[in-house]
Amino acid sequence: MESIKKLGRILGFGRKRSEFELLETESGEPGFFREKSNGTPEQGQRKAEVDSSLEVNLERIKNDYCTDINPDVVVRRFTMGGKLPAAAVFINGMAKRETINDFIIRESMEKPVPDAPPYAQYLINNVLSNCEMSTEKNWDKVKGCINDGLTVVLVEGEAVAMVADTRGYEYRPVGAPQNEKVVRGPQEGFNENIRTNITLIRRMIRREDLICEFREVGSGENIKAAVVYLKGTANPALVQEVKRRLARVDTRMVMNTGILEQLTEHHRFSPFPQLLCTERPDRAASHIMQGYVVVLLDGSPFANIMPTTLFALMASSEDVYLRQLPGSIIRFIRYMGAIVSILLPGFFLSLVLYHQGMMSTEALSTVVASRKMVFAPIGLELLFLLAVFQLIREAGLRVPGSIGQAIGIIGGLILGQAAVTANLASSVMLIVVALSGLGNFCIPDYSTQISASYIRIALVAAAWMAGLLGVFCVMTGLLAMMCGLKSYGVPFLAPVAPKTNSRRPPVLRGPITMHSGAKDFINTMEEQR
Amino acid sequence: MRIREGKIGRQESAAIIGIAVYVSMVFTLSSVESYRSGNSTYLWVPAAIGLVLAEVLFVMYAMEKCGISTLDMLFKTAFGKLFGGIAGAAVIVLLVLNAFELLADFVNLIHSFVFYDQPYWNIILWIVATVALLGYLGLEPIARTARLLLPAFAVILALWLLLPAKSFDRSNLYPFPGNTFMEMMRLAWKNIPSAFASIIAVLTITNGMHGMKFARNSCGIGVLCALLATGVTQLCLSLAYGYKDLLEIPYPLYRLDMMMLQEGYFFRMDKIALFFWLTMGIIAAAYYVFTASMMWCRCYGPKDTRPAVLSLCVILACAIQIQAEGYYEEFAKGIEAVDKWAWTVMLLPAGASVIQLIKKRLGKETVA
Repeated sequence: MESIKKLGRILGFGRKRSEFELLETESGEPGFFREKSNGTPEQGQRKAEVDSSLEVNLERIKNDYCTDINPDVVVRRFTMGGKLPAAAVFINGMAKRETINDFIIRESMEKPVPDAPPYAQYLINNVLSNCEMSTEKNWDKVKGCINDGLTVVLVEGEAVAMVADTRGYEYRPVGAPQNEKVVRGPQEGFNENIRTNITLIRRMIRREDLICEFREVGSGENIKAAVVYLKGTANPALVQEVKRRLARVDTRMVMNTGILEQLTEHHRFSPFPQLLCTERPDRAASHIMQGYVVVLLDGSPFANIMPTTLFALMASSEDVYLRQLPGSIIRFIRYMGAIVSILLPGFFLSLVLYHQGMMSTEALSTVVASRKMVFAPIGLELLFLLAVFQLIREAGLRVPGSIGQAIGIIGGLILGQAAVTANLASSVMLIVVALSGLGNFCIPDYSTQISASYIRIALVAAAWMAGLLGVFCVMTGLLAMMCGLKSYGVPFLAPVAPKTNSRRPPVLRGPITMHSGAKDFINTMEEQR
Repeated sequence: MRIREGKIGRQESAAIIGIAVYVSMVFTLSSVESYRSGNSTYLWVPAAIGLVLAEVLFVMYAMEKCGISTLDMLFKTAFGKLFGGIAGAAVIVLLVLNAFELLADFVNLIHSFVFYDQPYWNIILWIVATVALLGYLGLEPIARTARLLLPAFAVILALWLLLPAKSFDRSNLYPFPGNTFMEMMRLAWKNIPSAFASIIAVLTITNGMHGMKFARNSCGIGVLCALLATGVTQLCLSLAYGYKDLLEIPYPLYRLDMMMLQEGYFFRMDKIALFFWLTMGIIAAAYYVFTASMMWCRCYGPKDTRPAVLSLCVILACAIQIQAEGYYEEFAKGIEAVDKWAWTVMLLPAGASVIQLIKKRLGKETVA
């Protein structure tokens, strides 16, 4: 009985279907925010506020940051206007020393201060000449500011901390995108600084309705994320859903958008990605203009675009930079490449192994002749070659550029030739695997490339076991899974299945005038108007 | 829980209904029975589909008039809880029987023409596992897969019917119309349950089709397209073979591909078409299994269709194996008997609709 119950749990029987749906059950904004991240250990401390005693506050800093063994945190005591004890707290390296010296400490020492509290507002208005200043009462937020590279100024007798933006840490300058290269198009990619990334987007969308909401992600609340969307175009329900999922993230380790993707997706075991990851600001900007929501994460040179569909994952930003006809042809070739990549090995194996009648005598005899001395079964040979291909690819990715290219050449030419000569593989099979590998590289999105590799191996296994019967059954199952998949409430195969009102062709590239409008399947405000 | 179907649009609904009707009325026809005394399938098959459509449209009209959204509610309000449950069980049996006949035919087809040296069980497992996956995923993936593959099916069908066109001979239609009117009526009546199951299944998932109005439109479009496709297919078969030849061909559409294309390049691609038909069959069977499970849940209380889908698939797999291997004569006889009386299920929704309309007219009961 227990095992039956366990099986039921694995199969998900009785589990509520609580998936957010955007297209079909559009029913306004989700009602709540931050429902899951309550009850964390920090909850008790969150209510703690800044004390009016400077000594108490500095003692807290000392305890929280262990300043006796942690010299990174600098506590600089000084006297404001010759009479008011104060301290500036910042992290060495995160904050810019020149700014602190010139606009906080020097100014505070030289200018007069009032005799009695409140000091904070007076000091911000008349003494501290930093361009971005604010006050903060919550002790946790004060610590968050220090961690973020800001400088906190505490004064005796004031239960409010003054926060100055003095961030000045090092980061990589804006460079060309590494993985999404285009011939005609902007040659700049995101870097690890969230501010720079937002600026790159803002430079392309110079509109007052471009909203950039900052969120702290994870239970530690130390990672900053930005939710970027176009107010009045993006569906408010979608924006709320994105924010809700970010709020549900309940782990400290959110170092990258890839981790965030896993923490916010619904279908964990789906082979297909449920959001689009890009390192191109122009691509992020064009999606924002169409009503999508973009999430940027501090420390990550990628943007997550949500929701996504298969057709978005198969598109490249270059498609729209080219004229309609070449753009359409390139896109068609890309789809053909993807189909060849996924289907060719399994299909070929089925024909050779089970359905020889479907091949011409010449083709069959060529295959037989090329496999004459190969000792391994044909299915094993194909799986072996696919594994070798993956090995070469992985090795090429992980080593520096020029060596990576050399590994590709050595792997592709020398190793392949050697394998044929050593009768480990046949030349026909080598061509099949090479073609499927080339087709795989036609897929623009890296996650989708990996998904295609898995599917290809699954199809090869099915073909080995049951020929075309296996291939067709697995393909039907996969199609059904794709049809059932939703990315932030939007069906993965929209606008084809389900068919929506969109007149924009999903595979070929439509006229550029069609691309300027919002997409109907994300139910944008523009569509609703 | 998983009793909610999800939502499918008009195109998806029409695609799934059309595929189910087409597959059921082309691949499950018995050649021996249909061509025994002549060939008029191109007349009576569309007529049978049309008759069923008329009945289902009447049931839909009655349900809409009485404010009833699903078939189980119609049965319960018309016959009461106990007899409504029994009527629901009869529809479930019909749906499962249709899925069984469809899958058993395809298993036999694959075994006969592709994997003749393999045990049946190997083929059954692949096909039924795929049906189970689709049924488990629910209505949305089934209908969307149908919508996605429909253009491919249409192209393959058109290609496969047009390529052997030069071999069509009008004299094969002689004697026209092939059967007497009474014989045509008898054959239509005998094969009506297959079409009926495909169309009546819609009434279990009307909530997922945005209500009765959309369901009626989708049903009309899907069934009319299927009626046309079925009629054309049967006509092409009749033009290609005389009825005495057809009598000896168990799966004439597949044989049409094989015999007519042997001189051309496409000869070697006949199995591709076979597997496309199989995919259609899998989608249709998943639709039957899902709607049967939905009916089961609605009639008898479970809140999750997925255990019912998996259970039905296990039963189907075992039943197909028993049928294919011919283990028990009693089993085949039982199936035959159920098949023989399947038409009686047609009377249930029609009867329930009449009762509800009379009740409404008499003002005794109105269902909000």
